Amino acid sequence: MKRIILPLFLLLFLVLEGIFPELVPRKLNGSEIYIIPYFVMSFLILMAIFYDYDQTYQSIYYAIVFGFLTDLLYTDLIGVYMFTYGAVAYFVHKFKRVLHANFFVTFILTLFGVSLSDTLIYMMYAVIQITSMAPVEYGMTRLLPTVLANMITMAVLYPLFYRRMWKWSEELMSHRKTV
Amino acid sequence: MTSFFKRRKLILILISMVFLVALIGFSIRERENKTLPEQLILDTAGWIQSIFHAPVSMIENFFNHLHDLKNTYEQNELLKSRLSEYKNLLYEVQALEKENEELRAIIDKEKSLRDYRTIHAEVIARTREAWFRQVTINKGSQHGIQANMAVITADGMIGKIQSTTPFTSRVQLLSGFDRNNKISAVISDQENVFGLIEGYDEEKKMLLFQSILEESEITEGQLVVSSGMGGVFPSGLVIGTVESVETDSFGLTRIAYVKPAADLSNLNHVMVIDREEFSPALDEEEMEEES
Repeated sequence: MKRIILPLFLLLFLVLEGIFPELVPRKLNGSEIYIIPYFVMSFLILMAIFYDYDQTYQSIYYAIVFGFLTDLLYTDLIGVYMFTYGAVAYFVHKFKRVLHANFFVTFILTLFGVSLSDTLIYMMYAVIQITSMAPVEYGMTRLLPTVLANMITMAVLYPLFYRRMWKWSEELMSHRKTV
Repeated sequence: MTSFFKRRKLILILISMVFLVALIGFSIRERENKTLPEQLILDTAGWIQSIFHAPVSMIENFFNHLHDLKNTYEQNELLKSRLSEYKNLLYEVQALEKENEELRAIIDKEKSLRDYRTIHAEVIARTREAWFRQVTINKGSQHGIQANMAVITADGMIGKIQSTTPFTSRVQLLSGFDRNNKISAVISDQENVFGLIEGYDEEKKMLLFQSILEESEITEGQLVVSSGMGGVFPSGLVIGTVESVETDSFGLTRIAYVKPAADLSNLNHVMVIDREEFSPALDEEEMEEES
């Protein structure tokens, strides 16, 4: 049960990402905005900060697997989300070694992680001409609302999960020692 | 030793880059049938999505109903006044239908471009990536859905089936149509004005209707419907209304901006059109067998 609880939560967030776009407004003051949910990404950032030790790389493995699933489920291109999630989880994992795990750091790393992954995705889609949006327009109509919305998501997820992450993490460690 | 590890990291990055490009290259092709592992994952996810979607759509419906309740009285008055008109219309339609049937029997033509069967389906997820204009519906190839079938709502056409798995299928919305997905269309009250829906203007949020002839008269407010000539979609599906007309940059053809009749951003119940008449795109195999 303890082994599958993290993938189960990730799967839940993955599915919710497909339902979420029906609930958010797509227009603000008459102009179209894009709010892209990064629930899985936020959870992976929490994992990288609170669950992983310096020498464990669970968050990166999960990032690659769930990036792949996101690609399959929500886009026609396999590889874009897989690469982005993996890269962002790797960077967050690197950064948290030199930073303390607290709310402020989580907030900054979410800001960094979400904006990096969305920009990477935009750049890749622009190269393969899925989108023809100009960079400035992209920044205003997609990057800004997406990052803001996901900061709010993180503010909700953080108090729910950070203690649990620590608990699960200790279980992971004790399990390793006994094995 | 350390230099070896550094080199290994570099090699790993290079390999993952190559892998990324290969994967994108593999999946960027137009694919109507997904590979077996993909089908499995998509069906499983579709099942979970439909479980989670049920309460969400219930709440959404509740708020929509509340909204409807507010103007019920006015609507009721209006509808009452229209009712008698419709009764007359109904008799007329019945008479015409009967006549049509008789005439068809005379010329021995059983099927027409208009005939189709509908498969009802429900939207279970939108894509989280807004640039892919797609939705997922809860019916798949097991229910008789095939790629390229038209998808409509009560208001009008919304798109076509892009790919199917046994229990879900993905719908490409009109707003995601490009030059590869043309629809043969016609202005509804001028049967001779044929043209093609050529794509979607992102800025204006409208479809581009390109007419074949320069001198054809298109005015604002006219209804654009599918013509059935493309071989994929049946005729008579409402696409939208003409909002403005311009001459294209070469001065050869006229471009009309068409506003989609259906609301593409708020979809719940949709119908998939299974065309019965012979259509080259769907019935290619049958034809091969016959010849």
